[in-house]
Amino acid sequence: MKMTVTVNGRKRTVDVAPLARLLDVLRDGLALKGTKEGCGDGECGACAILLDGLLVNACCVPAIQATGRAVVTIEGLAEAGEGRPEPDRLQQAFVDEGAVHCGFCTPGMIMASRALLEERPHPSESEIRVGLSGSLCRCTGYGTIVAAVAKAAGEGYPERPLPWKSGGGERPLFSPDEAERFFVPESLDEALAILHRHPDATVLAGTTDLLPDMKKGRAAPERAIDLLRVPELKGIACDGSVIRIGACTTNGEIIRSPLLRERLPVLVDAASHSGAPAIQNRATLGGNVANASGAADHLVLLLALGASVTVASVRGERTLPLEDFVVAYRKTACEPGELIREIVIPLPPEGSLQKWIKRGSRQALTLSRVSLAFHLEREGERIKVFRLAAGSMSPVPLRLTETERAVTGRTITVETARLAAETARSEIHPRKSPDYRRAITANLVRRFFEELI
Amino acid sequence: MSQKPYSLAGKRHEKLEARQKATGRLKYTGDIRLPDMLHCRILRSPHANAIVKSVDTTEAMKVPGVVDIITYDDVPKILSMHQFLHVPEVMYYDSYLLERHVRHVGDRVAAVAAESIEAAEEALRKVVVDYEVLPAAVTMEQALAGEAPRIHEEARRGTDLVEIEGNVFEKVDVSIGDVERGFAEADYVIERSYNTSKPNPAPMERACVVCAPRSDGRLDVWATAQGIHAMRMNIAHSLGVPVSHLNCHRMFLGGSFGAHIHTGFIENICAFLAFRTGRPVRGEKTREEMFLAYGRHPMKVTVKAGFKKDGTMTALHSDTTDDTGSYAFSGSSKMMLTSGFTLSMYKCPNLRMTGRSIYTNTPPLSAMRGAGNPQASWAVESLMDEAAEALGIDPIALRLRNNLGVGDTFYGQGPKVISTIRSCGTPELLEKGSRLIGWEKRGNGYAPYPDRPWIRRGIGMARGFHTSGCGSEKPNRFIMDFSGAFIKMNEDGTAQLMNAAADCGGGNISTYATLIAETIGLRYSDVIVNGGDTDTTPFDGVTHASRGLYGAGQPVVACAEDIRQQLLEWASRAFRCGPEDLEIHQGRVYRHFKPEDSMTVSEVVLLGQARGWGNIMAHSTVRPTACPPHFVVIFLEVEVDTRTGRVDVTRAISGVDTGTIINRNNVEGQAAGGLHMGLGFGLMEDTLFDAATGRPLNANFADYKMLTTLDMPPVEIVFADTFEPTGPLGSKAIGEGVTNPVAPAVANAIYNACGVRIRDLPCTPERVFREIKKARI
Ligand SMILES: Cc1cc2nc3c(=O)[nH]c(=O)nc-3n(C[C@H](O)[C@H](O)[C@H](O)COP(=O)(O)OP(=O)(O)OC[C@H]3O[C@@H](n4cnc5c(N)ncnc54)[C@H](O)[C@@H]3O)c2cc1C
Ligand code: FES
Ligand code: FES
Repeated sequence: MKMTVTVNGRKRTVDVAPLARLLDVLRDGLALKGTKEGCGDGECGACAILLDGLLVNACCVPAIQATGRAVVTIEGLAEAGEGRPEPDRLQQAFVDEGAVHCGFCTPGMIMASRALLEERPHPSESEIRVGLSGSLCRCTGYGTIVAAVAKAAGEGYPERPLPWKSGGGERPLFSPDEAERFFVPESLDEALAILHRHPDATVLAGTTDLLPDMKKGRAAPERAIDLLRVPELKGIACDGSVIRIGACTTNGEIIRSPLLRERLPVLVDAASHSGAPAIQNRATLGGNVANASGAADHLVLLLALGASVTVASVRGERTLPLEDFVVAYRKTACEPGELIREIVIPLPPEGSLQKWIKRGSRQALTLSRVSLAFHLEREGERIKVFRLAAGSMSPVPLRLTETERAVTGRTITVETARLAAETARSEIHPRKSPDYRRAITANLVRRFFEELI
Repeated sequence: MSQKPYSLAGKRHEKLEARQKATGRLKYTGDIRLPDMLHCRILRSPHANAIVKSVDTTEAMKVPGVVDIITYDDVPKILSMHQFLHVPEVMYYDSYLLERHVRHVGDRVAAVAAESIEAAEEALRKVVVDYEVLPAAVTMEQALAGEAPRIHEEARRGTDLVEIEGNVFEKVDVSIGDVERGFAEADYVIERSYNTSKPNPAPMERACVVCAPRSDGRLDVWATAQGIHAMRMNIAHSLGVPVSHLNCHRMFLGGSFGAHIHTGFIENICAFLAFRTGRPVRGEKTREEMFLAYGRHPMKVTVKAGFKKDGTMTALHSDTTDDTGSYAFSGSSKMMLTSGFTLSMYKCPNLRMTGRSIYTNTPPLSAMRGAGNPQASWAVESLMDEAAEALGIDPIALRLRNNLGVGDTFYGQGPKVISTIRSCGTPELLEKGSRLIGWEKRGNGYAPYPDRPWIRRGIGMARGFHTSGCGSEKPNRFIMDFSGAFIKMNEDGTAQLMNAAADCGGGNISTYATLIAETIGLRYSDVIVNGGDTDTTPFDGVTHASRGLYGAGQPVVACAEDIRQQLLEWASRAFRCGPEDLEIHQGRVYRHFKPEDSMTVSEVVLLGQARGWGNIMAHSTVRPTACPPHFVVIFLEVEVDTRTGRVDVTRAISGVDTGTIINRNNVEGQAAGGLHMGLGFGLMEDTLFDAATGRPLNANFADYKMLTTLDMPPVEIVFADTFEPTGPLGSKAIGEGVTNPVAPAVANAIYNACGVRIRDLPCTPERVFREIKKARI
């Protein structure tokens, strides 16, 4: 296909395959070799760039979705800056602070830093660390990098906001063969009609699951439909007693949503601990649910929140409780021709409590080894409603209904905490490291209640 | 001795290439594209141990864009080595470019050269291979079992055939003093076994090579290599061509940490394909493939030590079993080094090292940052804390009592590389570090948060070191260690260095500029370091063993001193005075007592040119005669969540004795980065293989975890005030010592926090939790 994309302020047109990685388009198609590839899995941040002003990993973006948008790479920073000769202030701060060792992570680190400073001109050290948590460096131990970002921020960088936050909106120009296989609908009706004609087509949301899968040879879509241009699939709204979140809403949008921060902070918490910023800016809630994997973080939380899923097709829409929607590992109740339209979450009643806990092998960019989501409503001293969901223990996340039943109606005491812990321990049957997962699940459940005493 | 007053050394200098890196303009190997270039992909075995009975490439050759496919039948039948560090007599030769007997999942069966990566991969899918699958020995235990499959039929050490008995290909037993007597004299004897894991060096840049035929029939090679001369020797040998037929170019590396200390097969295979096709051939490993040829050797190290009541060590015996994987990339050297380093940990009159190296059906391993020392440190530094507790002596006091310091013998690379210690900052660093961390106040099982009594805080320490290169007083019969350099002066007063030492990111190339500017009297910006290739530079050992500055810097300083003398001599002709009346400062020659009489270095060079005095140039080759240990002391504070086993490192102090600091930016970066890698080793990094099939279980960055910004504590760095008389401007190394003692400091801190002793790496939450359960805290 012919792809037009605005790169560092210049319109460029290249011939590429629709599902080619933006990373390859930049490095090979446009000879911009500053963007590096460390892993190709979204896990290292060496390929980080700005797409319409947001940090993303170019190895997880297909060309079809980058078409018509604005890309900024490491080569563009100085041009975007104060009109000074290269390097710009941020790049020079990296040089001055000794943050550049082998330099292979440096372009990605600098792009992540720029994205952070666009949003937070005066970040604290911990905000810098969060902002860079998806960028691995094997050389520096990160300290000098954090110092460089602080230095640039202290110098008032960036003096001007990034000029290139949107592209020209061009559509991909497909070859005749491609036009039969790749689609970029711009309304829900159009998307559903295409899906109806091609029920075997893969729908593309944030592609953070899909592109790494393609690289590993686990997926090779023959046909694909881009959902990111469909406005009806976006957005977060409060509608009476429920919150509706469009399937293509990203974790980044969840994190930045004032509505959710106020009304459903637990979802913001889960979103901000899923992946790292460059992944959050792409990963969608719908994609996470569609994956139906035991390790999908939102699924666990949404189960505890009592959420449902609305699916749509040319035949119309239907809404199912999440428990019924997730049928088995990697299998959902989506029929051919259907896609997830939105997630519907009941607004938690005043005074209720939600908590989400994730334990992985490290603090950022980690798949859960154990994740737990709690929802608790009290009536006086007693537990009126309790929902508990667990992830990473089974092929798909589970509600721990026995534990729920065991404590409902009880007051919160040390004894209740112990009972909940023991019931949860016997209720789960993790395949890998069963003793460990059981024990820490019990401990975390116990801790949840103990903290309420 | 105190650091000397230098005008440039000790300051912060921007790396010569730092701006190019920060703006994305520096070309790494992976960024090279040549006209008409082919792409190489390798067909890899799905079996851990199998005989390739036949390979049918008919369908694969039909894929559009496929130009060449090679199998075992096509490659030279020359048993090849992988590194070029050791003297030829101890080097191991045990592989071909492609194998008939594949020995690990991912081993090389065939290689395709095609117009695009996609075509090459399509062809790989169409190659039909008939395997005779053999039982595999994936773990050490399986490889050592009575009826274990035989992994190698044939291997050579130098020109000798190696006797491989039950997959053990080398054994060692060396004694110094009399350990039996030492143990008899001891009041207390302790013996413990410690196991280490198999982390991957995981440089951010993946291995890459581009080979391009030249019009003179030779081959240009650009590759991620820690030593271009070593790589040239390897490729030439395995292809059976003279070394001069290859010109290998020095590239800046995106990290290495031991990944590129040897050729990892694609270099040789692409060179072979380039000669065959007459076209440029590029090969780049995927991240998954990066897990199929590198990593730190897992070892079982049993240490037995005897002490007097007052803590004096009377005897130490270490026994090491070393798993090298399916090919002996570094021969038996890792086992020799781990064992050898245990000899140099503490001052002890009676020492014995025993060990064996074995093959297993897993990817071949190599030196990774620390080269055997992290394994030795894990064992000995854990044992020192265990012994200190039993003896009722403070762990720091026990270490000081047995400190190996100035005047003592140091074994730098096993027992054959011997040198005498001339500088040691350990006592100073122990003092500074313990003050900073508040050692005196450390508790036992301290619970800092009243509302969360399950969080326990602990402080732990470990001390260690690494060698600076592999020099010994007499040339040894084990490892090569020498370097060369040329410097010439340009007409504009700049000095230009031509040498071959690789810069893996540590910044040694910039350090040479500082050495040159400091020695001649130039400005830092007056020095240019050539890219360099094997055609135009003298032989240099590999950038390994923390020798980038200490070893490769020595001929640089010698050349610079020579250049300074020549400049002074020419200037003295101009000023009609003696050279001793002149000095060079900031690119200008001054007369001592008439500073108004001065000329620029450029003017001196131009004058000499006009008068026909010739070139100002120098050459030098140096074999270092020492390998001074750079000492490191690590203090850590950790918080252990006793309900989940999670360990958070909340404070980290790295105390480093590196001699004269040449570029402060570089040494601080090395210290913090070394700590990062050490914490990874201590807490989470390990590559896992299915014990039945040998399949890698976490060969990617989604499943192989290293510390992110959120896991890594800020690092407080302290330096010892030392001067190393044998080193360039008084410097010694830093790169590996800063990693070596980190993991045992983690375990010692965990012990202090919650009373459990972890003896197997890494200290994952699951393992810590299991031990806590056992101890019922
Ligand atoms: C580095 C990295 C870190 C990660 N960390 C986490 C983590 O911490 N926690 C976690 O839970 N996940 C994590 N993930 C996984 C992933 O980011 C999430 O699952 C994400 O929410 C998937 O959304 P997506 O939009 O990227 O999905 P895509 O890759 O676009 O799609 C995934 C699948 O869902 C289908 N699909 C997408 N949208 C719809 C729809 N509207 N209707 C029907 N089907 C649809 C697609 O066809 C595809 O099969 C991580 C991924 C990466 C690469
Ligand atoms: S290459 Fe590692 S995140 Fe893209
Ligand atoms: S500087 Fe080498 S990976 Fe960060």
